[in-house]
Amino acid sequence: MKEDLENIRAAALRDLETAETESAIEEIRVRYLGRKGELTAVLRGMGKVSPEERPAMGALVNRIKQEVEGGIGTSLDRARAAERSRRVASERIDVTVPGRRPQLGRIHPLTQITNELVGVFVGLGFSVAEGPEVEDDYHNFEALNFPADHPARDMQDTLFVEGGRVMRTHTSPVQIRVMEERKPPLQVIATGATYRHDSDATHSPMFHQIEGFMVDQGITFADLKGVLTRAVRELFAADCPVRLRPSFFPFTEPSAELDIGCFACGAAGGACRMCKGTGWIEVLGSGMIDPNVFEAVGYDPEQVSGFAFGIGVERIAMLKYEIDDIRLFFGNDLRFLEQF
Amino acid sequence: MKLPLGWLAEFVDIGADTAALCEVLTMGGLEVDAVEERSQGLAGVVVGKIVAIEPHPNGDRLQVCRVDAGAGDPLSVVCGAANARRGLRVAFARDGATLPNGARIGTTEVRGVSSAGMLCSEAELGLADQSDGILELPGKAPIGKDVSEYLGARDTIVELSITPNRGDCLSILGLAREVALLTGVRLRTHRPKVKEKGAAAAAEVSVRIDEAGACRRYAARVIRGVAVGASPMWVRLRLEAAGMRSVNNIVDATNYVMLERGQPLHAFDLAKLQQREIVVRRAGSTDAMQTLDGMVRALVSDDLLITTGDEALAIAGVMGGADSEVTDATTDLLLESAWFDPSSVRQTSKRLDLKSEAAYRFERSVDVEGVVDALDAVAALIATLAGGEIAPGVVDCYPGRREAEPITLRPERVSALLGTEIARSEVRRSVKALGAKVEKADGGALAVYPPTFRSDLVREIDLIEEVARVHGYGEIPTRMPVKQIASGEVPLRMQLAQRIRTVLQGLGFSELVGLAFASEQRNQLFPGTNTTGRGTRLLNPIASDEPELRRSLLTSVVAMWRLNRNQGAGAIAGYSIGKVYWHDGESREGWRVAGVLAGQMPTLGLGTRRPPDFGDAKGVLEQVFEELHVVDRISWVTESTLDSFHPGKTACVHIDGRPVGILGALHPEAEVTLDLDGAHWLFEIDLDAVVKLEVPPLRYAGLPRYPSVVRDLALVVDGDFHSGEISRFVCNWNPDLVEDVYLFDEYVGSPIAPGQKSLAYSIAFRAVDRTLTDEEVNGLQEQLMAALEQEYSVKQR
Repeated sequence: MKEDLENIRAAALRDLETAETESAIEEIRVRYLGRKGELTAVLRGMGKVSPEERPAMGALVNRIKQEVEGGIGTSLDRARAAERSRRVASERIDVTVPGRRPQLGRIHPLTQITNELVGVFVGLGFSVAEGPEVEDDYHNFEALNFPADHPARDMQDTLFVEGGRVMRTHTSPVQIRVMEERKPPLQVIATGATYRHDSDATHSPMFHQIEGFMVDQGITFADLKGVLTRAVRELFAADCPVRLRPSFFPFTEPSAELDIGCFACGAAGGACRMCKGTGWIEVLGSGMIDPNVFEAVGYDPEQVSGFAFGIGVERIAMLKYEIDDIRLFFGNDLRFLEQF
Repeated sequence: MKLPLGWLAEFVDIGADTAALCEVLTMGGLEVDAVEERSQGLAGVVVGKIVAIEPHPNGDRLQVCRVDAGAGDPLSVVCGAANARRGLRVAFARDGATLPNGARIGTTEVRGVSSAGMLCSEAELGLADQSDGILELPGKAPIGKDVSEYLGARDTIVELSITPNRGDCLSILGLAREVALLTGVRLRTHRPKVKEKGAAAAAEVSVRIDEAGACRRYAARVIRGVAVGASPMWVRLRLEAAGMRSVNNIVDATNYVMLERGQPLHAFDLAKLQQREIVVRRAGSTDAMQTLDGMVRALVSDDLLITTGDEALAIAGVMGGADSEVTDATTDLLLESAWFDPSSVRQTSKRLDLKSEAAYRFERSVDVEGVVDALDAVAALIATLAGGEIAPGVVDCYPGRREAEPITLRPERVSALLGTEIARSEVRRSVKALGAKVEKADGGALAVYPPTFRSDLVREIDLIEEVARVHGYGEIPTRMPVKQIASGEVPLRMQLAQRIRTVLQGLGFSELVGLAFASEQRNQLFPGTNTTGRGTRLLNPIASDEPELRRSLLTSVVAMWRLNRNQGAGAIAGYSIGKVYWHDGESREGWRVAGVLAGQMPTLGLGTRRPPDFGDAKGVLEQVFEELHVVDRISWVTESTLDSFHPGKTACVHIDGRPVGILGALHPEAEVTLDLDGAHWLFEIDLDAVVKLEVPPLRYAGLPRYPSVVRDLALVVDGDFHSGEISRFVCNWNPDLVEDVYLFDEYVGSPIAPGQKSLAYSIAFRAVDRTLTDEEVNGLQEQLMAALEQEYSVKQR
């Protein structure tokens, strides 16, 4: 019997040595250790062994069983490693097939620029306000020191709405609405669509502005320069040259246009198309809020002062992305939108 | 405003550097729009002198001239003009010259005689439409000098944007004053010299002003015996350079002086005046008159007129009348120089849609004290150009004379507002440089009397701006304001819009921005979500076929869909966040989100392309509501109220049982109307309604400690049964133990009976305090099934 056991052990270990696949090893396990396996058959014959020999034989069977099981484990590890090698050697993908891309939508370039501008000014402590687009004459013009029959109204060709209203020609009426409701100190920006009766490659009847104003005791023209210089440098370049030059808006005085050094020609001018050779690009209008505006909202211009500014979103987007036709923004051709 | 620099240089030294001058103007608030070099296309044409002349041997009308062009020996030039004669100074186009019509002049042979160029006529030089003979230059014209330069045809013209507050800069003189102010050079002005003769003007005409508010001053002169004709070249060239056309020497003189001094002027044919009293009055019952341009203009009673007797001579400040127009036959003139009220002129000019150089200047106010100087200047110029005698005296009616009122200017206020210390002496110097008279006022302030030509200076702030401008904006420091630190706030609507953008961007939707205008038809097709009344109407729409404001963003969305379909786009996934407008007695507006999913599903790469189905579109909206934490409050209802949507393929979106939007496909009839087809889904949500929702603040819920048990449940229901009913019922049936339920399969066909369908749900059971046993779950499932059978008469499959 002992001899039988030794033969089984030797046969099992020999078989395991040559077994290469998990299934072959499993077959071996079944053949020797399975319910009908050879070692199991020997164990079943233990009854015939004398009681004296039984413990020794039992120990031997267990030892051989463990030895075979150990052999199976080793063989399995070897077979699995071989299988992994085979997979590594055989598995190949075409890494040049196109990615299955869930389409990524785009945020409209005007929204992107607006968000950027809002981010800059919110970072400087300005809060955002909103106001109606269909405005009354008082908030859009009168309170902003545009008298009726004043040529300044020609600066803003107006779309008139039934009921004596207008499509707001700028975001400045929000200034009036905020000041009517609140008291200084104020640091507010307003964003949104504005409308003028104008339509060509550089003018859209609907366009977008960001308006801002700061009102408190002792706000000066130097503060205006400080805040706006900081803002445009954040928007364009940290070191871009900035200049202010006199201009006219009915609701500010002194009024100023703000120019930045042309980034296309490095402010060299010459034959530059971007700045028409001047070396400067106009980016916004600004000024100290006119005393008449303060009076219209019930503030005492001797007590408070402030500055206001307005930025054309389309203009900034056209400058930044070098877009030459404003109508592209509102055409919504995906071939355009998907570039942003 | 076109500024010819040659003209400007008569009043002020400007130096040779045009770019530097432009910089000075721009930084002074007079923005340079363009700079144009004008040479009339003339090059190589010089002043020549005919030193000898003889008949051409082979041509009876031709002559051979010997022309001294200032360099080398005289040259032979063949000329056919009858006025070519010895001693005449001529415009000689040398070999290599170019003419305005583009012709290049060379040495040619004319009937056997060599000709080294051409003697030019006015027409050939581009100075007249037609002309007889060659141009005769004055005897003092320097031989060899460039003709275009000599005639003043070569000039640099600077085009300026003059802001509406600076009416005083709408003249050469006004701009010269600015250049003098900004560069510190001296202004050369001269009072016009008038030689008077004959009977006094006052003996012939009188002036009465009935409306002193609308006409503060009216001055007139009389000139007798003028000869109306063409203006000399220098006048024509200057008018042209400044953007006006030559008419005749009288009209040209009035325009010339207007351009030079900013005061509009008018010449009437004195003989055509019925009476000799000029009356400035409102139109009253005079309801029409014919203007110079031949048009009959309808008048309203408020229009200001220049009249004699019951005859209207002119619409004050806007345009003269045809009846008293200067013609070739005119000999005696009445010249007008006046001050009309800006607002009155503007109202009439706007109503008549009649824009003129005169009205433009009156609207921006002219210098009431400059009225007579300009009148003298034009009288003197007419006498020079057209001869005649200037009748002695000015008939000057000036009821609107005002005492000069000082403006109090506090130097410390200047410093406080500009944020930089500006010395009192500098403030004083700056306003004096403007031409203001300055006196001392109380408390160290200055009493400033602005010059009369600066009608825009009426308040202290106006002077402060001038001080800043003269001081230079660049000299004012750049400083951040000192203030209490406060962070900027963004309104909830903008925050939610931004979150919606982020979700939709991730789901493949691109944002679009459409114009707010719509046709009546589109507003009827898409009357909007939560809008009432009708579309808001524009009184002066950009396009006549879009006279309203959009009631729905779907108008913009559908336009984007069609455009991109036509461009051949495969996947069209777009949305817009914007305003819609309606009118219910009042103008209303509100924020909406709308979008389209059409063509193919927006996925790139290998695999099957497929059109989007309802579930795709609904899933997109559900994810938007998920992001906003309101998805559990949404319900989908099949009662579409919009005719433009397919009744069987459209859902109303409700939140907390209230309608907030729509999702569906177009009605096939609407597809035809809109020229659109193919699988598509459109949605619009009332963003304002979403912003108003109370959303409880987010709170962490503990992670489950016990496992869930998932069971599938297949039911057989009627074909038109709404699967969502079951989901809602199951969730509400036992909220403590049913954690989740979702439909994972829908099946129609054998062995399911026709007209029925099978719905398979996956239901997750979980208890918070224990592991559910199989027996417990089996029991729950049986009870649930029984409840479903009772509620809906459905059968388990």
